[in-house]
Amino acid sequence: MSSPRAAPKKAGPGLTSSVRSLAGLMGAERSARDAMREAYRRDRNVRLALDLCTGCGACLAWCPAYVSTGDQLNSPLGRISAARSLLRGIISPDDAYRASWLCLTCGACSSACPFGLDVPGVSRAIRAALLESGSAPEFVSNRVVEQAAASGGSGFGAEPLRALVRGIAAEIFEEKGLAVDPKVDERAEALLLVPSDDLVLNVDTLKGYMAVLGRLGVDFAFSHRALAENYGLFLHPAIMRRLADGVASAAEELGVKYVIVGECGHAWRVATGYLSSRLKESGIGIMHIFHIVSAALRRNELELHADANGDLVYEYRDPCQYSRGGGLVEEPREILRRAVRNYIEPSLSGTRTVCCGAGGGNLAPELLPLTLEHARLWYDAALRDGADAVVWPRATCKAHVSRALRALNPGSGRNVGPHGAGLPRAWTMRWTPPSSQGWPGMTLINRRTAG
Amino acid sequence: MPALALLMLGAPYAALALLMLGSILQATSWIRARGFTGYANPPLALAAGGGIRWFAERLAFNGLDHDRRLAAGARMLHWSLLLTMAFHLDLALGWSAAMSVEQRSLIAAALGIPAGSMALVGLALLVWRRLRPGELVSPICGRRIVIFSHTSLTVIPFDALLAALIATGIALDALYGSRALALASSLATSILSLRPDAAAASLPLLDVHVLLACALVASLPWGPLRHFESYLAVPDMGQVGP
Repeated sequence: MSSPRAAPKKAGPGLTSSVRSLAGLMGAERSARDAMREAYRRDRNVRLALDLCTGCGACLAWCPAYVSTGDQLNSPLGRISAARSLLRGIISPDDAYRASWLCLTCGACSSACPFGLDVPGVSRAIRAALLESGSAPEFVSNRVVEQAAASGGSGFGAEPLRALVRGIAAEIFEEKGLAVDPKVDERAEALLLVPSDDLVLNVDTLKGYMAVLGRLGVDFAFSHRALAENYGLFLHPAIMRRLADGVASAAEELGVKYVIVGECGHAWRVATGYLSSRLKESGIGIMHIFHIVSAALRRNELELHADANGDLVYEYRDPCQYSRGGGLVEEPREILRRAVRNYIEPSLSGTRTVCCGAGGGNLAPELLPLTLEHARLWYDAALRDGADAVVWPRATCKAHVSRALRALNPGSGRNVGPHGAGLPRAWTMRWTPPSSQGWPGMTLINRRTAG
Repeated sequence: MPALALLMLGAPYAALALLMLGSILQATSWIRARGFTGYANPPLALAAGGGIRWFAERLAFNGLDHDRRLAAGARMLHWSLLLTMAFHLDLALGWSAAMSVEQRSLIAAALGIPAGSMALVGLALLVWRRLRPGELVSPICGRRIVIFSHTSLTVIPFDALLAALIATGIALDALYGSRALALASSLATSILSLRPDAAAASLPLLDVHVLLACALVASLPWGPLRHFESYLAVPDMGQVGP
């Protein structure tokens, strides 16, 4: 078991100041207590959680962080207690920091809670309050600054992006004989929003998006100012909105009708919780790449070659941000069942899924020992289920699962493999042109507006 | 008029007023707090929470089966209280007025005493679980983990109040049977018709039971027992900030 005092490394004053400025907190620092009081007044889920939690502990057995550490502060009840203590000004900043930043924000506690209380929302509110008083973790702050730079146009440049996608298009042509002509910063019908990991690390996933969209005849474009990830979700709602608004502006500039979100859990969560409402104002719809692929499969516009994925036993593991709060459960299964010969359901799936272990900003390198402890929970479950490969189609999960499998496989004598992309390697033989009416049968996610 | 009688006349109305005031303030604070979505629109709340089925599953306490003490305690306490509440409503509204007092008191003894006893056992189980945390097997991995509760000092007086209320109710049923029933029904009707008759509560213990009930009703929206109001509120897991 890792040290019970583990905590993400704090950002230095310069970095914290940059992040505070991104959140629009230019003035004097406000006490975390005052900021939390405002969250309690303004945020309905926070208010409900702090008003209604009876401390029954039904959540504890489901919280991966508590189950793997036994640390009461690092549990849903610890976080509720920390928030209530913060409101009364009787908690040390370090305890509030640990209670909130060690939360995986996976929402397992909420699914188990008899009242459905949003404990991850409470963790996020404490984090935002701590930022207002000048405290934030280094890893998440760095990601936020990078994402803000990309959103401002000074991240992944237009030319490198163009060169990258042209290179990928050439590979697709070589492998499949399919000509794909991806656009960058040009007007198109759809904006493809991918996490930066897919541009750098998970290039096969990027290839999957481009090949399928190209095959379906979708007129899509990338924007060098619009990346999927949004660490503002973990840090401060104002930053989350700022980054999401940047995506919306890019979509409006390109004149798209749809935004297609790639394999990124918190991007999808922001898409369903905020961005969809924002885009709706401009008449732009939003959907996940899985919606497109599953609809194409249903209409026989794509056919997958399961044989290409061998005889391995594949298990789909629901990313928390897809299944809890994101409503994305059936589509990835529909794709995977057709993409592999041997598919099994995990023993805990859908809203009962177990976090990869590094959600909510816990991917920081200094937290690796702790997050490996968390990972052991799903790893052991996958072994019990008899899986050879776990499919976890979300950027953060892919990053953590790969390193977790490297660490855990030697101890078990097994060689469980990571497979990030729900989009299979082998696809298409039968092909029907898409309807001129658009993409019938696809699910447009248009979040209802504020109550 | 004796002080107790005066109290008996005013307490039910004061309790109801406090219940209404607290509930309105509570609901207002929840509605005023913003979210991108939420229960301010009940049909959306139902959809967000998983529909009627979500509520039904909550009422069945299906999600607590991994924790046997919690599941058993919650079911025994809450189901019994619901049955008891229906019985008390009947006292005031006279749904079963067609039956004779003897028949009603027989039913009260047959249902009321077991229901009250089950509620007491359920409450005791929940309090015991809070005070003596135990271990259970986590459903996500099969490991044994320690279950603890953050029991604030405010919970215990409310639990004691509830226990005293149930205990006096059982005692009334057991000791006075049809007499208690007739007097309680008469008192409830007089209160509802705004002509409170303190003499109706002249039976020993009935006045204590009524005053305890008033204290409980008045305190509902102000303390931990307000969790019953959560049925009006479905937190939306899709919400990502204020």
